[in-house]
Amino acid sequence: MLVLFVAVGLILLALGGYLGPFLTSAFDPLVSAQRWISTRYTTIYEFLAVPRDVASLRQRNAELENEIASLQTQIVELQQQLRESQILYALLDFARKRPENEYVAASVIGRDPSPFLHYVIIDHGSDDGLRHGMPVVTQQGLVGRVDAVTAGASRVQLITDPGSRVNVALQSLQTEALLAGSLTGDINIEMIQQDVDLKVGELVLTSGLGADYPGDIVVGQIVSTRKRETDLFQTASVQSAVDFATLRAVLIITNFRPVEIEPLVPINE
Amino acid sequence: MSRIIAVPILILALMIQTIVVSSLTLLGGAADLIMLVIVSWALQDRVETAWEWAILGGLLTGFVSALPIYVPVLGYMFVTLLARWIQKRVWQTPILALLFVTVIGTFFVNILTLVILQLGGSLIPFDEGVSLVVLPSTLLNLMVAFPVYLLLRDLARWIYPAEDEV
Repeated sequence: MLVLFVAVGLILLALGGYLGPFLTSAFDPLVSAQRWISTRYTTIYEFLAVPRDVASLRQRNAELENEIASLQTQIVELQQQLRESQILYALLDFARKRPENEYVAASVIGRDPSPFLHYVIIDHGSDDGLRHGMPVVTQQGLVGRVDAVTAGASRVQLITDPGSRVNVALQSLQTEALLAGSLTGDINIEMIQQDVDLKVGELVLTSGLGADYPGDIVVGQIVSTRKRETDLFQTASVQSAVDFATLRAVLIITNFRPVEIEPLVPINE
Repeated sequence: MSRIIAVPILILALMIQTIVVSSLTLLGGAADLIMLVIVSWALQDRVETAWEWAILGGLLTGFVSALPIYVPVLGYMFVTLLARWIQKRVWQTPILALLFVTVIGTFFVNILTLVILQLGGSLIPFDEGVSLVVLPSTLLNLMVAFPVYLLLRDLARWIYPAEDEV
């Protein structure tokens, strides 16, 4: 009973605010002690827990580094896909501008092992409708023609090959000539009449003569001319419209078949 | 084993050749990885399948290349003949033999190619072919020969382990 009275009395005193100073002076040392112990505990806890945190941080760091490497790989892949898409869009744009032709797009997957020859290998073959002699182009201009086919791949002779010969026409001069490749990859036009006034910058197109290539495909521009009084014909160097060093994708014109011109033998009747 | 492993090794070498090596040119020349693989293999002591590797390498190259198929076959067989001949004589200095066979082999294969192309009607001037292709190719082959030789030497040691001496 006494205890109850004391308790009620203390509660009433506390509610009335009479115990405030007393409680403050009594609890301050306790709070200080609590703070001191808490600080020391936290310090000791951190000291003991740090190695585990470092390990987890290292693990997390490794995870993040792996993630960064993975993202960087993805970026490279996406950039590669973007470049391929840009090339394909350009080829598609070119194909749309020439609706009379049918095209098959192919990627360049290799080059001829022999340094004497300028051929590339593409990843489409007879299964895709490719045949020997079909012209190969890009959005920039003429690349060459299909030289050999297997079911899934083809070999393309570039116009820079030393054995390549293309009948061309000079756009503004209405003159025809022969475009020849060379060992160095340079292309030259030959068999131009001496009286033709060749100019640097003249556009060179396929003439369609000989039925090896369709007409009016851009080949390049004349960059220099060679004219000697003693020669029968003059020659000129041509800057190809296509950059063969960075050739990645091509279009094959599948609805053009070169005509095999047999030697003209008179028929004896 | 060494006959079977020739197929993937030579196909891999051909793929690297057509994708990478043929693009890394000096003037007009390029290294010939297939030839270097065949030379390096033929120069190993215990190898008995050098001729099979040469013929297979030549056929694979001839299949991919626009060259007549007999050109790489003949070229690589000559290189193998030279390598086997010299390997029996200067076997204690394989690096010297490697350099010698690489130089002579590159000249032979490229000159043979040039002559066959000219006979086929290609208008490649001989001196231009030598200065723009043969000489730069020789230099590039010499640069690549040593690492290829080391790889093939390890492969040969794996396939033909040394017998324990009693």
